[in-house]
Amino acid sequence: MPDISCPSCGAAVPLRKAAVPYVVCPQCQSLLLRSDDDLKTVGQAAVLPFDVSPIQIGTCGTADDLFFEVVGRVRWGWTDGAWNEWLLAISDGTTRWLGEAMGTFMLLRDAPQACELPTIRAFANGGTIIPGTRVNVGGQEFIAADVKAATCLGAEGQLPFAAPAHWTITSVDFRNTDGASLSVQRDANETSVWIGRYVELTDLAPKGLRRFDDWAMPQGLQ
Amino acid sequence: MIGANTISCPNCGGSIAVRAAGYTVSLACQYCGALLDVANPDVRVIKQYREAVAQLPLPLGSRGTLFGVEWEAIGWQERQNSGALWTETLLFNPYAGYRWLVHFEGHWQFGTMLTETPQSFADSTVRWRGQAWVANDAPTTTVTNRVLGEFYWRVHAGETVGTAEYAHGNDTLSRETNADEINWTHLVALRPSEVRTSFHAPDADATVEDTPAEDTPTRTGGLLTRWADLPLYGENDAVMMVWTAVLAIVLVLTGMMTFGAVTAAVSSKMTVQIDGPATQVTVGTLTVDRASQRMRLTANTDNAFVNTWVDLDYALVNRKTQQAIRADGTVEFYAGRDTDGSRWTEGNGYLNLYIASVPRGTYDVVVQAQGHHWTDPKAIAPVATNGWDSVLTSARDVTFIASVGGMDWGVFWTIVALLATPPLVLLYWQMKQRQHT
Amino acid sequence: MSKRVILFAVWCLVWLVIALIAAWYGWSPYADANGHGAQTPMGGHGGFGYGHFYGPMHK
Repeated sequence: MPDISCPSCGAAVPLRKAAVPYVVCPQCQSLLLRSDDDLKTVGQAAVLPFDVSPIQIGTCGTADDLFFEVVGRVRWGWTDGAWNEWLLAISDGTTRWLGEAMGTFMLLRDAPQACELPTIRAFANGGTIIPGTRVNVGGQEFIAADVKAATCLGAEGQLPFAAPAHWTITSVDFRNTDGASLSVQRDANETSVWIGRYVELTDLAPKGLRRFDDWAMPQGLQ
Repeated sequence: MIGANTISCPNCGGSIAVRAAGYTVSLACQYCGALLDVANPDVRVIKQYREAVAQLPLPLGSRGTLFGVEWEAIGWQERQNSGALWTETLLFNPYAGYRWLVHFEGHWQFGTMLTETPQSFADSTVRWRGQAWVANDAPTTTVTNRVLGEFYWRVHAGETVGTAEYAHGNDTLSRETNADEINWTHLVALRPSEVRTSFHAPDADATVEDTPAEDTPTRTGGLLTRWADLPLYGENDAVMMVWTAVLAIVLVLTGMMTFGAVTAAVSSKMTVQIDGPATQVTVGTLTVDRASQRMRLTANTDNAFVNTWVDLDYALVNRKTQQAIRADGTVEFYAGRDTDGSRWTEGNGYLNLYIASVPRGTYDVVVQAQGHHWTDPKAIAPVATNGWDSVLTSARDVTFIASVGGMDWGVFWTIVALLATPPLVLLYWQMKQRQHT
Repeated sequence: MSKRVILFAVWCLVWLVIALIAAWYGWSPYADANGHGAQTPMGGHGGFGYGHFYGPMHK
């Protein structure tokens, strides 16, 4: 895909997936929205702090027999830490998310049907969820493991939504005995639910992982 | 690019390479021990610790390969619960995440945090990956004593968690619970040789280590901090102490026998008048070559010596100064028959006197002897001898021996008691403890 | 290895050294006399043994 030109600073902004509408200018961190022939600045994303995540924009792999390419990232921070959410663009036009925290990875997909659950609906309307709360989604039982108030620490690449600086959410993580997980995020406007499971990096057969001068790529990932 | 983020410790100014950049939340400065909040770009000091920075079994920054992956030791904590004290080293690889190396009384375990939770199905059993894991102890509380390096949560000295452990074969599942979360870790035993051979000191260019700008205590290394890091008690203590005591006793024995060998001896025989005037004889001349030495003075008697005692006065006369070292004793032997006819004896018929620390010099060993006879009032008839002796005018032979040196068995056995007591006491305590459990 | 074992090894070393020094210089707390002065007066009274009681104590 051809690069576009940032309307704020004029830098070249690379694009990987036409269908993903928002993109962050790598030069000035402007949040750009592409629609048909239009390209406009809609906000500002925070500069990402340095981290040693092995995933980077452009990493490819396979998840659930679907080939993906990493096209964007949002970084969230809370009082006691931070995590990354990587946008995986699938060849069929759908997207997945790869949540990355404390060296563990979760592969998640949109689960809008879970928004109908009473517990989630109540939460979406401003209610609270406490750790230990149980929900049942598609026959799997989950237990709320932690509830955090998080702020967007930065974004890069292409995203399906705007990720401006200072964007705050309440995030609830549910886990279960099989390694599956449920993630619920509520911000000022809406509530979204994702469902998925823990994966090892090697499960994704990744290519194009980030390289470091002082770390050798482990055998299983070469 | 280098897989590290360099920050400056706000407390001591030391330059720290943050290895798990982006994941690390707390970092205890390896130079000054201050606990820093690195979750945000502006690094804050949470707490200053005044204790000396420890030298760790696996220094922070050292790398090793375990299970096919290269790990770097980035964090360290010392923890304890009611009965035990151990350390946990946090290992990191950007492609593989985090692992733990637990070191307890010489044993190493490699720990991986679980993402799926085990199910509990009986009182003290959980099920994980199709196997049953059984609790080997009641749940307890673990407290963190000290922390160094990077951690992915807000660690601080003094934090407590509820701990429970479940075992299956040589592996352990450890569950830690606090107010906010429950974490499970799978631990696998490692042989110490596997850990030692795979970890080594950091490369010269891997991390940036500047000396701290302010006058802060530099990273103390060497014997004193290695001493501080040693646990107070160890599992194999009793065995090691027994072998140490055995070795020490063997060395004491050989050393004492070598140093305490007899270097010179003289002897002479004298006929002592019984109930007569005192007689004197010079046993011989002995030289003390060292600054001081022990001397032994022996008086021996023969079978004719019975119901007799001889008072002996020794003088070790220093030839140069004519000063005398004096000692005295008595040689005696008595025998008789009781009214019921049984024979009794008293005394042993010889005398050994030990003179300690005789100063250097040449000595004439002079002894004065006065013999006395004892008449048994119960004897029906005078005790028959060989008929030739008369009670009033008899004499007896006494052989005198004087020697320099000689093994002091009194000192030896005292030292054996001193060396053997601590390990024996320890073995006794451990046996009693085993009886209770 | 623990602090306790190190301390015990030091304890053993200390007594080993004391034993060797005592053996070399002939020092002993159990001696009947020592070379640092005249001990007992002349006459044969005092000292060990019960000769000065004039005979055995056996009844």
